[in-house]
Amino acid sequence: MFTDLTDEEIVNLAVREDANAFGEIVRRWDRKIFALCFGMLGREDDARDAAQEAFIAAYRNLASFRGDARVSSWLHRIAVNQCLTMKRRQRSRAEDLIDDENGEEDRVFIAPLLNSPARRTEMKERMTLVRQAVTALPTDLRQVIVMKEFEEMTFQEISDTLELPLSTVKSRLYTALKQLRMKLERTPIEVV
Amino acid sequence: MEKESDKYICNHSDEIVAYIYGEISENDRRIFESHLGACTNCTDEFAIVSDARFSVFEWRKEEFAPLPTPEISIPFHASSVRPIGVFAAVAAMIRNAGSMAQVSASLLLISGAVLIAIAVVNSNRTSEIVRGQSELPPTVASPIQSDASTLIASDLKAVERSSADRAVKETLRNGGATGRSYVRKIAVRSSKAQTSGTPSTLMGKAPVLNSFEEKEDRSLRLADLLDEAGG
Repeated sequence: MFTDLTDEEIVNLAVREDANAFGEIVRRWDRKIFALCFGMLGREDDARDAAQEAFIAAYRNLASFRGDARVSSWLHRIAVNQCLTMKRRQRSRAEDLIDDENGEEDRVFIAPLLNSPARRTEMKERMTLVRQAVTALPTDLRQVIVMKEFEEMTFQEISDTLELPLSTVKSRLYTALKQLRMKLERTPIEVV
Repeated sequence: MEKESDKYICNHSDEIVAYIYGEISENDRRIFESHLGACTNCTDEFAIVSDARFSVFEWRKEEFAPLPTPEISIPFHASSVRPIGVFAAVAAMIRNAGSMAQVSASLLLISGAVLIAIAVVNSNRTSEIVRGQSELPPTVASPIQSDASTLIASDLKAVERSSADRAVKETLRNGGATGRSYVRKIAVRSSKAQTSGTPSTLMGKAPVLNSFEEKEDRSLRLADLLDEAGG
């Protein structure tokens, strides 16, 4: 019902008429916001919590969305702030990560189950796409991704191994990830 | 697609990847986090890079991590090679020794072999020295002689003089060559008797006479010859 609308239209709809429209926003951006939180926090479970908190915060602040920025940027900003808050909380009280089980009732929408057949199929298709996209990268870019992600080498170790300056290694990795993202974006995965 | 504004687009690509992979200093992290909360461009860039990075992370987790580590088998095994000689075998044993006990046993064997070799070499040297000493010509009257041989030589002189005196007295009593021959025989017999039990350097050889004894001996021989000639 909402698949043909842009993100901005959906948000406007959610603000004015139908709160459930925001569910489409969650479905579209769930994984990307989760990935952003993973990049900020480095742990899957923390990233999952942060992503849920970010969407809850976004829903509560729907009225403050002015439309002068893209919905994605708006969501990114909210997610980054949630992650920074979580990090500050973790630094000050290391053992006080509270499972907010009572918060389940306040959530209007529920994130898709990770182990649903649809998600598993989507995951399989995505893995195939990622494999093809990484293989299609130029050798010098692919090399850096493999050394960082599979061999878990530090930037300094990669720099020493490839005899490249440290800044060149970081620059190549940045370029590789951007190109990878472009390739993946060209082939969207449809969830049945 | 992303819309690029005309305004300055800050570039924190190095900080973005460093932050995502946790390889950023504490100070740089604080600065970057502060900037990230305020800069839409960097936030969007961070989201894009995080998304791509997470895709690779998932791929590794789903397809690579469950794969078992393949067993690498090398067709050539160093332990199956037979050592050529004793030393190579010992070296191979030490190389392959898996425990201190084995290493210690190897070292003990080597030490034992070395000690045996030294002992054999020493015994060979000793027997050579003994053989060398036995070949030396025996001397009696030389002033450099050892104390034992000097003592024996002087005894021999005394014996010969006393023998000669007896022989002269015998001759005076008996007369003739027989007495002289008898002197020589007495002298030799006495010297032999004196030399029994002497050091091995003097065994089995007739004593060498000094000049005085040589003169006396010559005079006795001359006397024998004259007697024989005279009948």
